[in-house]
Amino acid sequence: MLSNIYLILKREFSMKIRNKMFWMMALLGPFMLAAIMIVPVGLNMKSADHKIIEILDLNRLKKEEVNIHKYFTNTEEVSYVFMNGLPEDIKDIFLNKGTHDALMVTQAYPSTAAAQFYSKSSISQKLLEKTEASMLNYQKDVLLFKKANLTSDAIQDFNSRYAIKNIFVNNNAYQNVFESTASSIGLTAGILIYVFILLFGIQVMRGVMEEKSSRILEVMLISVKPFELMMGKILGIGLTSLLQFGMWVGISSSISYAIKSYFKLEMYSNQNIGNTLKFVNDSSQAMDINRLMTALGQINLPYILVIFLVFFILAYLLYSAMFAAIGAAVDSETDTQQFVLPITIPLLVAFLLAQNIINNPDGTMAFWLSMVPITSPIVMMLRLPFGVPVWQLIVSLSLLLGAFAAITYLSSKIFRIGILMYGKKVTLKELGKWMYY
Amino acid sequence: MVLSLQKVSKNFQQMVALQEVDLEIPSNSIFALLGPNGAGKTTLLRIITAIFAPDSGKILFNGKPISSTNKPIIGYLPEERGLYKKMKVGEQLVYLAQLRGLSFDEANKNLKHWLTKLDIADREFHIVESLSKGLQQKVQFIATIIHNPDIVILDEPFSGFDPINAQLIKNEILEMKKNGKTVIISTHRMESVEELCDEIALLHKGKLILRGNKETIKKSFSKNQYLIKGIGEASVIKDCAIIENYKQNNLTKLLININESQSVNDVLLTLIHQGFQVHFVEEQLPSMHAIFIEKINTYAQ
Repeated sequence: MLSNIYLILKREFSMKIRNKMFWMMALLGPFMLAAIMIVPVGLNMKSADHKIIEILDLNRLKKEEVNIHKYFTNTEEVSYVFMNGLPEDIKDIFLNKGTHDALMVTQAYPSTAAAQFYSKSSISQKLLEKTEASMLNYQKDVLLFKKANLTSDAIQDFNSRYAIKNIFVNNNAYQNVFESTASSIGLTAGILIYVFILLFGIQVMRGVMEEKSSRILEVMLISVKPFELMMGKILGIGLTSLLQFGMWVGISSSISYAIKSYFKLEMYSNQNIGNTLKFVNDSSQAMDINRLMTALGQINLPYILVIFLVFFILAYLLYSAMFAAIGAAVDSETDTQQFVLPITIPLLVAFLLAQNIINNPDGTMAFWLSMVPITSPIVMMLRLPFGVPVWQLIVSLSLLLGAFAAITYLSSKIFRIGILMYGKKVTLKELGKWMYY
Repeated sequence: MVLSLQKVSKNFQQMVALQEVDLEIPSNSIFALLGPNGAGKTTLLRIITAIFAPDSGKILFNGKPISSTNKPIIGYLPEERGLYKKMKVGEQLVYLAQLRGLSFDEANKNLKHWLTKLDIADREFHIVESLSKGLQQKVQFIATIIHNPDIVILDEPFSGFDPINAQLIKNEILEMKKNGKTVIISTHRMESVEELCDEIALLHKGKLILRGNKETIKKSFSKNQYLIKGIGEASVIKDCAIIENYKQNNLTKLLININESQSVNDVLLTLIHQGFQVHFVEEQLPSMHAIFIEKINTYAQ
């Protein structure tokens, strides 16, 4: 029995990798993958909410002298609020009671000490730069106002010495980076499982239909059991899907390695962080890198990858068994719709609820959807980067394994009857009957 | 008896496909399974090949029930032919042979033997799809017998072949019999049955309505008809009906029906006395075609 499954598996595998489609997918896939990862990030950027930044200017100039309001323009993204009072009081209120996102305190001329930028929530790099640039322009004009006959050399000197010190005052900032990193890892893993289930599940279905319509099955069944035929096919195509996945990962990481080494962007190793910090005089950039590193440090990528692969394989097996049964039951592609839709709906539902699950990865809904075998592979991926207790993983995997065994058993019954049934329009009710034959 | 079926029945939902079929198929013979469309022939073949399980009854090979270990002793050519269209001829046949229990080396050895024998050795590396229908049929035939089975089941083996290739296949079938194999043929071509088969079984609406040795069956359907050819005029013969009497190239052909009380010798003596010069005498047994139609019609009434 095993030798037959092995022979069938080997044939499926070698036929698939001989196909041009396989290699096209292998080359195009990484770009799709990149798109999948970039689109949510892009969406996140757009949806970043409105920030309110407090400005405390210790120069305390009159409007007629240098009007600070001119330098900071409010946009959709940000509003600036100008404060008056003692720096200690303002800071105290901002940190302990205030609801605003950041506070910038500038020193009075002639001090060249760095302006202090306190932030409680994550401020985008773009916004940070915009605010810093506004502040620099303002400071320059203050300088010009105080010393009207300033040489251009002195202005140059000012630019190089002036800096803004970026201070994060609580964990929220880290937390936000962590959350967005975790959710994009979860989403990517979920989308990969979804894409591969559909892509290769449908290949299993098509393969069975092709064999059915080419009438090879009767020739095969003389020496092969329907179950062996089904499993050989599922495993063979599953192996190609793993190879395909490996190639995607390999190709996309070589591309990103190439890009990184071309632009010398090797900022994510510890050693390089130190070097970066030495060379970057803009401390905010160094902080950013630091933040990302901290956030990534909380996410155990190899662990996630292992769990991902286990769910990926089981989810593929479960769904492709169903797809194989559909392929056996129908005669033509158009008849497949009524069966494929009910199968894919749970997967779609998992995605529609993705945002809720990410917002509340330990909530009741997230928990149950990550236990039910038809949605668990995707929902568990969404939850995984946020940390899932081991017992939940074990329960979820056991349920998935059990569902796989049950579905394979029922599918093989449908498969056995379907493959020699021609010209009959099959309904769901009919399929139900076949399970009890 | 190499193959025996005992009270084999099979139903599909409300439809009866086979009803208590008893059948003994002797080894070293060519057996014809006949019957009108929808009689249950394909179902019976699928049960023998264990593609379907019977609802009741037993199938024994040399006295043992069929199992996955003795399944490779069967070769089956289904009526609906099928091959992997995108595979090469050679790799496809090796693959199927391996699934039937041959090692890779054995499979390759047999492949070479059969490709050469059926004169398609030059097509080993061609894609199946690119071959003509007749050549695909040859590949299909090789797929059936490449693992050297003891029982070969052929459903309409000659369809799609030109007369030369049909003869090639006929010779292979006869050779298999000579080598001690059992060949089961299901066909509507009665002339092939006449030519090849030793034993027949007639299936109608899931029931076996006739079975046995072909010659014995023919004798039992005999109407005591004789064809006599000769020169001269034949007039009335006593106790004997002349069915046909015509001349062709100076040769008179008589088809006569003799009463049971008489022998053919009596008739010949009468003719010779009348001055008829006898050249040829042969008993006219009914054709399988005629027996088929007669049996089905009487059964229908």
